[in-house]
Amino acid sequence: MSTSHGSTARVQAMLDKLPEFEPDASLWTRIEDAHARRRRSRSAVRTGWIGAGIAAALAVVVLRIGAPEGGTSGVEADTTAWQMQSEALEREWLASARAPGHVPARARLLGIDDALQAAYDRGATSDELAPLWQQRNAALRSLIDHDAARTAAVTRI
Amino acid sequence: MSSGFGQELDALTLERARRGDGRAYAAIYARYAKACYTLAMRILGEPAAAEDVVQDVFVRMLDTIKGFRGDAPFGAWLKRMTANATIDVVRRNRRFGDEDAEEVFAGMSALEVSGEDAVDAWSLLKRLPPRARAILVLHQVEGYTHKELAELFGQSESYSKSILARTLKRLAADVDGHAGEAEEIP
Repeated sequence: MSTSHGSTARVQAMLDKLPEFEPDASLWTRIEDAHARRRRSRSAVRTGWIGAGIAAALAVVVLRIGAPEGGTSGVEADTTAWQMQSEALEREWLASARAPGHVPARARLLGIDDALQAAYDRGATSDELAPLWQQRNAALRSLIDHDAARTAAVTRI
Repeated sequence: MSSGFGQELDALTLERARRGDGRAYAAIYARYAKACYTLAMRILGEPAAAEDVVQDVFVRMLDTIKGFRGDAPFGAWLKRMTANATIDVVRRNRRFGDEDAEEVFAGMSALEVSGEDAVDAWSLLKRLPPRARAILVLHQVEGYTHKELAELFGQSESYSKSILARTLKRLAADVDGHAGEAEEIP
């Protein structure tokens, strides 16, 4: 620097006398408003993300409820189990059946099948369907047992 | 420290501000707004631009105060934010001058200081190019090193050294010239 020590000191003395400035009185209000706007904006973005998250979670739940397999309630699981058991019993009964079989039991089975069909037609809930499948299984078990008893009697003759 | 950034912030106000207390925010503004505005004004020389800087700095400070760890004094943290925001304005706007050290003083005629302006430090400062004013104020008044100025301006240390030397030379000539005039007054 080519300035002398004395000149530098005089410049520094001048700089020390620089005035200070006061901002406009309304500036703090503007800052508070700007800060509030930013918070609202960030909050809206956060709410948007949370909303999107909730929507995604609901979509997963709806898809699971609508799916034929997978996460089902206890009653739904029972109904499915009763239905599968019923199909197995029906196969067992048909394999062993001797026509015309036990007429009252067959009539009871037909009545239960009509009730089940009507229930499905009106969109009945699992709570209503499960007992009907249980009744059908009992009727099938009865028919199977009856046929088995008859077969045993014929064998003895 | 010669500016209001040297004021201490009490631990209770800082803690309240960290918790989002609006009154603590207002107390911090009341304590440091003048220092922020003064620094921005001395560099930019325009009240509207300086107010924008203060607004930007305080909004950012309110957003980040929860994460302020207190490694440095609060005022020093705020001063750095203010200097950064102000230099950002200088660098963004071409009306605040060219980046090239040689061009900073181009087109600037002699300060031609006389009369009342000669004794008015602010008038002398306002006549300097904005980048020269920024380097002068940050180095001579706020205590920034050339290394810090290099980081602020994204230039080498020789950039601020060169501009500061020429700025001081001009000011010294004017101050000395005026001193000479004053001595001539019988």
